[in-house]
Amino acid sequence: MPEARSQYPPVSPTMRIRSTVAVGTVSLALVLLVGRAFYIQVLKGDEYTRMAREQSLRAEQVPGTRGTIFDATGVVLAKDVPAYSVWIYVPEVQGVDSVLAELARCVDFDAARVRARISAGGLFVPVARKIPVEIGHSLQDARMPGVSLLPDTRRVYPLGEAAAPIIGAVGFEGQGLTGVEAEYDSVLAGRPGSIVITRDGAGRVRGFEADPDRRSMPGKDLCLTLRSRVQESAHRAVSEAVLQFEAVSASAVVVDARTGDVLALVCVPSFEPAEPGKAEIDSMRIRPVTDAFEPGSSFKPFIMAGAVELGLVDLDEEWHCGNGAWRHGGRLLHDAHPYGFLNTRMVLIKSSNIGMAKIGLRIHEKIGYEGMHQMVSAFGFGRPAGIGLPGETPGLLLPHTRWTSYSVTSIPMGQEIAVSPLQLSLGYAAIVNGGWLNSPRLVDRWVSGTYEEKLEGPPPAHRVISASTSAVMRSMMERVVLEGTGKRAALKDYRVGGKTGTAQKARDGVYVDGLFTGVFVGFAPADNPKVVCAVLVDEPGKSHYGGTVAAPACRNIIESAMLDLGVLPSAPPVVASHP
Amino acid sequence: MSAAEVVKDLRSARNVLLAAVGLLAVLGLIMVYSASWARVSDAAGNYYLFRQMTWLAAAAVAALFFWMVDYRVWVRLRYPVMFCTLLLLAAVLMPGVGSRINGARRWFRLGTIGIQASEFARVGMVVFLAGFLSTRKDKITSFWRGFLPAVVFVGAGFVLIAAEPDIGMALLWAVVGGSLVFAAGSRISHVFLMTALAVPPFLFVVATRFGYIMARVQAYLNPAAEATGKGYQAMQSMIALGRGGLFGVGLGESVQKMFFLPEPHTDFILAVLGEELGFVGVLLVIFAFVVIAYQGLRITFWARDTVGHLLALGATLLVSVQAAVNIGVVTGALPTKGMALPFLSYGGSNLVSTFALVGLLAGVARRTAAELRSLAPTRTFTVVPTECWPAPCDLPDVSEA
Repeated sequence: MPEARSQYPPVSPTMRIRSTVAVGTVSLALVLLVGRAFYIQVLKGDEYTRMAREQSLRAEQVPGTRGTIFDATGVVLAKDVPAYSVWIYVPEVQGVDSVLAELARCVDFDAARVRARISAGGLFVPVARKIPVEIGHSLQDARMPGVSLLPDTRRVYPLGEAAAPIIGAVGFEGQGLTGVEAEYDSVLAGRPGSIVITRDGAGRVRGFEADPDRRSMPGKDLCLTLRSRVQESAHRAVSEAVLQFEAVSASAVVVDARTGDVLALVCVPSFEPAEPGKAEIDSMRIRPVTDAFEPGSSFKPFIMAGAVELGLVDLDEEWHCGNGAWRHGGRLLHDAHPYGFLNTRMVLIKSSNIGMAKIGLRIHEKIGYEGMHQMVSAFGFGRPAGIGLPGETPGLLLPHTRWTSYSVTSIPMGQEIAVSPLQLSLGYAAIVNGGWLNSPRLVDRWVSGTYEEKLEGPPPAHRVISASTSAVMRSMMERVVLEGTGKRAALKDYRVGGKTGTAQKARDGVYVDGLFTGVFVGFAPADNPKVVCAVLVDEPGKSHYGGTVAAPACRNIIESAMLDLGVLPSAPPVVASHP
Repeated sequence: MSAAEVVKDLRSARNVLLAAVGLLAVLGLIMVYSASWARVSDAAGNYYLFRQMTWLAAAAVAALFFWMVDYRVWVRLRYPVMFCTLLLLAAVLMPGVGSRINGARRWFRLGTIGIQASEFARVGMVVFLAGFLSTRKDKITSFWRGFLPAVVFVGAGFVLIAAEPDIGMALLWAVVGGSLVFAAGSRISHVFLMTALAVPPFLFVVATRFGYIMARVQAYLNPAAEATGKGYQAMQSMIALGRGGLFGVGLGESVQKMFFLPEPHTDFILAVLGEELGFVGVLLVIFAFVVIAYQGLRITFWARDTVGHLLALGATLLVSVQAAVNIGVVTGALPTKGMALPFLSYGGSNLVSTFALVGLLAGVARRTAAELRSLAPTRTFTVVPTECWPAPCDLPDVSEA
């Protein structure tokens, strides 16, 4: 066997000892590091975990989901839906300008404000809030470096402009600004909670989840008395009237004749409720509630009903209407069409100012200023109707102590008095429903999960005229539509009653030529009214008679209300014999 | 122990060594993938993983090469090796040749890949010192003819690496180089003398020239107070480990790798591992390194000549000291310095050179076993006179006596 010893020197014991010492030292160090790792990971683990949480997690307050607003049929009027907010993390962004330009293509935001925040040293800067989920997803797919999305909510209003003034809108932080959103803010508002945002070391958002200890609570849902289909057709009808007659504005109120439930409440101009910031303040007003106008002839039924109720006039009594002009005191009164003798019914049906003025004089003669004032205020005029919305007008009814001798002839013609369409429709409801004056009701109940609670209802209705007077008034006003000034409100399948009104507008106490308010208040079915609808067309440019500008709109609204409520077509009306 | 038993022991040492290395390499791939995906877009999520796998293939080839080639070849090539090693370290310092990244010139850039000079130079250092110290075995106790030339070589490499600057690697170089000179049989007095002469100037240079080192030392002494400043890296690393706890937060669940840790897939990969796999995972890794060190020592111990002995020792020390330093940094036991964790950290240079060292170790084991097999009776058992027996390989070596 050959000797195969290496030509290099053999290993000495000293070398082996020294090598062992060297490797042993390193191994010992490694073993000691096990202890170090144990100390950090196991003994101090909780402390470091807490530090990790502190630097990577950040709590951000999120508003609780705001309650949904439903109409009486369960249709959504306003609802919070998921959305995103877009943030950019400046150090990560590849060119702020190009990224903002890219974002501007699908998101609407104020670039100047974002730039201002960036130049102020902001690193994590919000760009846009409340962007729709679809846009958020497309942004996520685009994977722009430095662009993060956080959860947000966005309020949607399916009816849009059609219900905007009454439903109102919410501000940027979800607080109610106008309408129901403002009035019932405390019911609708959710309790804010926290989400925990996971941030990476570069400050970007990596994810988020709700903080289990501080979850946001959704607000309560509101169920209104509104009916969305009536609301929509009312909005369409008044919008068309505004366009057709070049009016400045128009309103309509539909109430349940028996209960005072508000079925629709619209006005134009309206606004886009999803973007209240862009709306003009003027368009956010709930005109049928906040604005009073001089009702003109549409006020005549109240005086007539009062006079009939108190037996101050006989229905068949003849009144001489001066053949179109009659001087009383220092004032010359006119009728639109000249009439000679008219019986009491026909005074209303033909809407004779002179006839009404004479009836007014009769009332004053029998019961004085105070009695006449009482008669008017019994129908709810001169005080807010009580719908419970901000800015409700009481209208204008001077105390009788400030009345003049003209007042007793002016008020029966609907002058010297101002009412809101809401007051007017409720007053008409009282005339035609058998004599009961209701307070308006807009909110039926709130719902929270499976628990629901009726809101405290309005004060109970009270009787203002007798059932028989009411029946007389119904037939009179049905004839207004059949043969009087309100023919354009007639429907083929339903019996409609109503009264027109055309008032000259006063500015600074003086009537202005050519400025009118056209009104029509209708109800149907005429024999057993279900709904009352008041339509007001303000300052129409073309035409001005209430029977022309407002009655067609009222007809359309009443028709849709009849269909929506499922009212069966009426039997053909009994055509009253001409006197 | 008989020659046959030693052969058996060597085979076992080699097998356990390769098993531990394989375990760490696979764990490394998993952790590189986990630690790096947060840094790249989803489209390029496998970027680091695929590159590391490619490097691993290259590393396996390097290991195989050093395993198969007889290590004694390196003794004959010791001066060319020395020349190449120092050339490598000098060339990387030249502007235009070495590329500057983060203020340090440590890399040769070839297309998309970077070659870290010192990682390969350290293999050359071990090879040269093993050859040089073996051929000067009889003169090693002489200060001028044995000790000083070796120390000058180590010192030159140290200075070149420190000039990059890469203080961590320079210290590793000096510690392992010094250990080889020490193990080769230098006089203790020379070692002490040299240490006493080298340390004060080193500290002086560090304190004056390398402000960042001092800052890191400051940060090391008080990491929490400077958690957002200089101590940031160490603090984030400890937070990662602490968050992992005993069993970890689960693979892929690390939060700290999301830009809290500065180098989650390279120098601080153990922090990510500790976060995701917990103390148990860290324990496994450290245990694997201890096992590797022990197998290295076994091979060192049985080496038949000083060349094999010093080669095996150098390879073992380079791997284990580097691991210990890295783990020390990650656990906040040492000031922060850029040093990869062998087998686990992302990075081709470290992976290839470390596998080359493993190949060197396996190669020494292979030659030692082959030599022992050629000496030992293998087929038949015949009684032969004692004087005809080959030199026993048990301690103490009779040839020394």
